[in-house]
Amino acid sequence: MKHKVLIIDDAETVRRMVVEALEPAGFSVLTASDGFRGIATLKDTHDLCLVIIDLNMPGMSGFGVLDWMRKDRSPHLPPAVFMTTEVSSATLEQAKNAGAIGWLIKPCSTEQLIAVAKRAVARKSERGGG
Amino acid sequence: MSNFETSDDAAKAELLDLLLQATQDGIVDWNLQTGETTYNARWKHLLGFDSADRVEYHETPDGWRQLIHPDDLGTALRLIDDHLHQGWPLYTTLRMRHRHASYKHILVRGAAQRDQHDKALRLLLVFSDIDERIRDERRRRAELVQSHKLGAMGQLAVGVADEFEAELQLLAENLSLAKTGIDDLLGVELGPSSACHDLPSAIERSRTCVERAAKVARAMKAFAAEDDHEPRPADLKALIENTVVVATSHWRDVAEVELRISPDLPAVPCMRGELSRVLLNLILNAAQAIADVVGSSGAKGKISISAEADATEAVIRVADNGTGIAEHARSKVFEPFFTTKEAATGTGHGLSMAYHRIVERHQGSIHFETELGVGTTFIIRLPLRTATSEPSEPTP
Repeated sequence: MKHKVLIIDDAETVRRMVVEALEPAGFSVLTASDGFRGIATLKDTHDLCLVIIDLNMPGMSGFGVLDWMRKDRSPHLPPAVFMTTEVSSATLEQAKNAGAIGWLIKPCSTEQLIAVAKRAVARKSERGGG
Repeated sequence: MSNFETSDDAAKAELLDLLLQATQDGIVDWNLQTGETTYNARWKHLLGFDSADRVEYHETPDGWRQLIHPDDLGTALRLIDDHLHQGWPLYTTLRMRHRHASYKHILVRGAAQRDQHDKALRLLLVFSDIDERIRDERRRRAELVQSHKLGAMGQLAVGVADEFEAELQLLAENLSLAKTGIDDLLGVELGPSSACHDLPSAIERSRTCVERAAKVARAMKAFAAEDDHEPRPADLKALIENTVVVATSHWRDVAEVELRISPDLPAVPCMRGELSRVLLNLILNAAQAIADVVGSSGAKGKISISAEADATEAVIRVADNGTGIAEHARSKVFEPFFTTKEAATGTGHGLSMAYHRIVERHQGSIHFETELGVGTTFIIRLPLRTATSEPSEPTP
């Protein structure tokens, strides 16, 4: 069975870039165009191995999504990785404290995306997940 | 643009050379297999050494580590570890020892080269001098704090002037009464009459007015007093009482203030000016939340302020029985420029400043509990001792 990754990003080009990078590498990619739709997908999809979240989105920010995940605490929720164009020491620290497992800086290469997805899969099997 | 993707090695080398000149950054190439480290020429200049300098230590494999400020070394090694083992971006500002100045702020970024099993083989570190930028930012921040402080003082000045006006008005009335009494007493026309019996109480009331006005003046002076630059043991009881007095005109018409200060509260290390302004903000917010409930009905809400301490920390609570904070606003309470108030009432800076002051300047914490229609309690915790940092060992 293919490992499933969810990308939450308001930019269609970024969603497409993630699909085009990960699907040839054997992943199945779901997409959501904002935080609210992302949360709906997170609730409904119980076999995700990773969620990649854009930090700056209108309506609900990436931190909003991660906050929801942290409060919900459903065991099926996948590890989260942030994706941004800019980075700062403070937001990195905030993301680590909020429980994210990684961070991608845009534009990121196909190799970086695959490495992050594989790392998430390895983490899941380490923890005895599927 | 095509140059960036060229496969021509000479063109690549040329581009890299130009790039290194253009960025003026210091670069360290760390082979994680052998521990061997290479520095570019710019590295020396960045921290004040020139090419001819025969300074050995900064070119040894861990020379760059030796130059990091001891307080920042633990963070640096942890962040490098996070990058190597979990792929987190390496991006941090460190203080590094400069040959002439004591320390410079250096932005450190890096990227690891990995094998097919995701194991890091080599780490390239880029060191950029951002000392000037940091100093500019600090100055701007100080200016912002200063202007915020002046804004708060201006807001208070109006309230304090109100207090004085009321006391002086009362003083004038009582003095008139006293004068009538004295005229009567002198019995110029009709001999002593009833007005002279009011004389002692008129004088007594005048004295009370003067005392109350003096108390407001003293509280205002204490509030505006010179700021501490680092936490010093302070009497929280006096600090809280002064702040309540200074804010009187903002809560008097809408609320009663109840103080419950534990009698065995020790002296608490704090920056008095900063903490007073945080409390003032919380009191003004509480009064506003109550005003939104009672309106001009004449009913009064309650602001309860308590302070107590255990062995490790002091806890200050500012509670109101006002509107409570709406769900959608809760996550934004500590964000700068966030306000639910009308433009004229607040800048939206108060609580973000409070957060900054308590968390960063006092190593304390601030959070709130709120329920719609019931009220809000802000809870400030201040450590009785300041924490020490723990450096960690490198694990590349």
